[in-house]
Amino acid sequence: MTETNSASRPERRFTTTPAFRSPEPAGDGSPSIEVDRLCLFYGEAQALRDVSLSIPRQQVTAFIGPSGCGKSTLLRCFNRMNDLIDHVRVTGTISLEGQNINAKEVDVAQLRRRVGMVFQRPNPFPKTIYENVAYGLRLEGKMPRSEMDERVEWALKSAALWDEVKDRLKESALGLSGGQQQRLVIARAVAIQPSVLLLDEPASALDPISTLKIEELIHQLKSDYTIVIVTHNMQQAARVSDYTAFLYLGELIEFDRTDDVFTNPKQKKTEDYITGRYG
Amino acid sequence: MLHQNRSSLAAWFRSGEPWIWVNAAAVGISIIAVTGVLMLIAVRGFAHFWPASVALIEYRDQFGQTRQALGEITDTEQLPAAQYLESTGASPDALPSGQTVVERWLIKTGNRRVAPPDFRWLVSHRVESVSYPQDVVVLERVEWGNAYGYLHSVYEAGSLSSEGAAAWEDLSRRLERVEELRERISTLERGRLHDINYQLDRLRLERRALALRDAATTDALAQVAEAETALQAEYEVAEAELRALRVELRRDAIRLDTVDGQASEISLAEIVRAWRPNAMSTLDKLGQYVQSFAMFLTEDPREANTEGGIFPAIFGTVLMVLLMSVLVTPFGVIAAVYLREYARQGAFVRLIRIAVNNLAGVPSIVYGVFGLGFFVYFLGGSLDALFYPEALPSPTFGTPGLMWASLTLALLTVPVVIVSTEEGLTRIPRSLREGSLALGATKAETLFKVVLPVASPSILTGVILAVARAAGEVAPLMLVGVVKLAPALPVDGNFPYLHLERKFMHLGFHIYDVGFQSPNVEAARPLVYATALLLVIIIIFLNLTAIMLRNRLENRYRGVEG
Amino acid sequence: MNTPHISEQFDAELDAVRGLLMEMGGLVEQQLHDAAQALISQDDELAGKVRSSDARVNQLEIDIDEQCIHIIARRQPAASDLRTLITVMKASTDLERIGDEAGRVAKMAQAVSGMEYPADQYNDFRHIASLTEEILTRSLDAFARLDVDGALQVIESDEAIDQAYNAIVRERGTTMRKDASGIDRAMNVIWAARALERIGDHAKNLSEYVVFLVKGKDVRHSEKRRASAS
Repeated sequence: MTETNSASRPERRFTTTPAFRSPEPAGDGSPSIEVDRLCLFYGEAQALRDVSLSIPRQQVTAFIGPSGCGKSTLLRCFNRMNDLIDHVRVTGTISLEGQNINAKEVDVAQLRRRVGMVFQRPNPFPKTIYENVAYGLRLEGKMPRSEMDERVEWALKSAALWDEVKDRLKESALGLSGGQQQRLVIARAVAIQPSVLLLDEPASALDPISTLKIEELIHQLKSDYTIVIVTHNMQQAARVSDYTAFLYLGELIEFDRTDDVFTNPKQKKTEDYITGRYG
Repeated sequence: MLHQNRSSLAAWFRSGEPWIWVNAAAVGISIIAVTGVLMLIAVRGFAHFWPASVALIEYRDQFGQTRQALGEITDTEQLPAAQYLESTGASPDALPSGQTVVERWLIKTGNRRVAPPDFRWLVSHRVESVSYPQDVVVLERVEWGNAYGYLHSVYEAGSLSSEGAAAWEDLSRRLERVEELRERISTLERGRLHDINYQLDRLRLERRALALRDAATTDALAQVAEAETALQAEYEVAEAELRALRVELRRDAIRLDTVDGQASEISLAEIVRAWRPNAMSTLDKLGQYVQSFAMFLTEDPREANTEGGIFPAIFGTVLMVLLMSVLVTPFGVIAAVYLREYARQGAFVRLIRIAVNNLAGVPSIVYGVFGLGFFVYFLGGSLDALFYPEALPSPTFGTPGLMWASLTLALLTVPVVIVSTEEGLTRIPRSLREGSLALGATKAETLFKVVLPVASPSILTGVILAVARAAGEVAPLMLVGVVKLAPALPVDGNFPYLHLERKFMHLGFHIYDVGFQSPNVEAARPLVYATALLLVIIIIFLNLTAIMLRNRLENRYRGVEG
Repeated sequence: MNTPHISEQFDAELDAVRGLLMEMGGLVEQQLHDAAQALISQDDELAGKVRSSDARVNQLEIDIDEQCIHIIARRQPAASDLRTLITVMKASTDLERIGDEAGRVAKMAQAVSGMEYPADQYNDFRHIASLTEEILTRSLDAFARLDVDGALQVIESDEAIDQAYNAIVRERGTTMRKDASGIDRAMNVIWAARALERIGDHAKNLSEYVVFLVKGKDVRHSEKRRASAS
């Protein structure tokens, strides 16, 4: 009787580990991207004012702020996407692993292969799923078929998409759902093994479940990539990021650990913004 | 009550219903207009090949004598008596009293050589009887159009072979033989003799070239001369063969009695086909119809284009349009890509764009003049001086030809391709380009791997519009390469197979030529319809091909722009 | 704090829950006062009133928790809003405990009400009661005004209550040893004083929450953190 009792008595312990992030940085703590007094002008209009910050390696850094605050502009500085826009002028420096990315000798295409980017709306190419992932690899030059297959599979697995698409790699990527397309785009970016991943509002066009999948994916990718995410969903920033930068009217108002920013921001502007008082 | 009515009418107007009716009416009228045109062309064009019955008509001439006419009734029309009297100058008593409307028939009597004219009008009240004798024979001749009459007898090498009822069978058999002989002659002429002539001409030019290059050593000359002698010998053989075949062809003849009692002897060499329409069943006529249509499609024209087929014109049209597409597509696409992708958008590019759009509105004949002045005389003349000095003073490229015609039309249609390609490029979402660039692709890689494939449906739309316009264009072609009758097709078995310098025939010009420049308008009219029908069919076919291709591409890239 | 939210409804909800807390605070304050008074004046009726009002306090605690949970679920508050709600929830727990302790004092008051009125007129108890009432009032004031300095002073002055309690225990122990007949009363007074001492601790907690709410710093269990907050 006592025996059965003791056997049936449940052990008193938590079966799930608490989901809190470790309070200390997982990487070696050295910054991946360093921004120093960055100013950016669209013609006469100044979009970024003296922004300085260090993006920690293998952590998720979120940029938040109201529309037009320059958060996307700042993100697009990191892979020089702003080069595509006419009349853009940049002062100050951005260093990736200690190297000034705006230097004359930097090959922009090479830079972009080290700093991958995922956009707001899923933008798969009108090709097959396989070809989408292989796109960046093919740019590297010829590669044996088997190696290509391997890397495509690896990338799709990294993006948690492999199980859903492994039987239809030859079908058009446009047939995937929005959330799958976005993960495909992430796989495409991951395939060329960048060191930094820039995510420009990656879930804003997705439904809540797809959004959560993307967020979970971000959490998994963190161990291999330095991730910078722009989001206008503050809860999302709070959920996925380790560090949060708040920008307002082109200025960096506050940059701190996400835990601090969302419980006890230092600046009143930040406080007002994240508590919904921005007016 | 009245007030009620008015307000309900006003309400009806406000509801927008009248507007829908106006829209529907506009669409309806357009559809009726288009189908009307197509129906008219189709009915007239297709009817031309139906073997019509031949009527024997007895009538009184203006002197009251009874006469006979044999032919196809091709048209009837009614006109007021007064107008008829005025136009013929006849006295009023020529008409039965009280008759106010005159009906007249257009009879195709053929026999242009022995009893011209081959079309005549008959007034119906003069007609006494119409019958369709079974033994009337229609002969389609190589020259002089159709002959109508009664087959009297068949001769072989001058001596009587058969007569009376047996003659028809005999004739049919002998016509088959003649057909076969004609086939052999044609093969010989277009094959061996043509090739030999071509090579002889090349040798002549080679000798000239040697002289021009100061390389006319005895050795070289001897080589040329030797080749020439060999070819000459070959030519003699072929020539002799041809002469023998021609003699064979002319061996048989028939005697045909016309309706007014004249007997004429016609060599079988002159006869293309013979049939007895009044004795044919509907099925026979259908067979004949199909044969006529096939001949129309595949044979060369005869008799100043008013007889025979239009194969060279079809061939020329299609080839020219294809060449034009091949030229205009890369040119237009490259220009559009530059304007949209590389050029810095500003006042200058806007100006260029306006200029390009306006270029599409320039009258086509202006392009013809430009093509003649620039392409033919300047470019062609320079090419001749550089590469074909041995042929001078007779020009090679310095004269209108296929290449210049295609280039001129390419120039004419390039704005269409540029505009629609640009439109396609603009519609490509920026995110797609950025996606590629963000993966480390260069701008050119992005362009070729992503942008152009996605824009390809728009490019094809441009090409479709260009083809539609080019295929229907005639005016500029008359200046830069189209001729009434081309001696040879632009494609043959001699290197370089595609002869861009040759002149060619074109359906559009063919219609104009047959319809307005022909000595025998009545005979040519059905041909105009038939040719027009064919032109429309070809344009529709070319367009459908391109549209199908575009739809497939569109399916593939659907959802990109969403 | 002074800037309104874009969502006025959010402001209204926060105000409502804060209002409930203040109501609860006022209620508890009254309970404490009445309980102490009941004991001092040996008023059985007043003590009964205190004990019966406890139900209302408990109900308020439940209401406050419920409303806070609703706001958290629906608004995902951050920063000061988040701290406000967490603080209000915790404060309501402390207030409820204060209410309980006040009830305990009232129970002691009932126990002593039948006794002969003592000569010392509960002077020692009067002292600790006034200290406790003052500290609770000041805590609630600091909470209402988000007054960090006031709150820090409250935290410091908690020490006085502890001293007063220790004094009572010492004094009454001596008395009991001298005169066994007064043991019943002395025990009751010590227990009541013990409850007041607890109330003091809870009031101190309230003040610590104020510091957390305003400064975002947790000053519990640490002199140093307290020093950095001031």
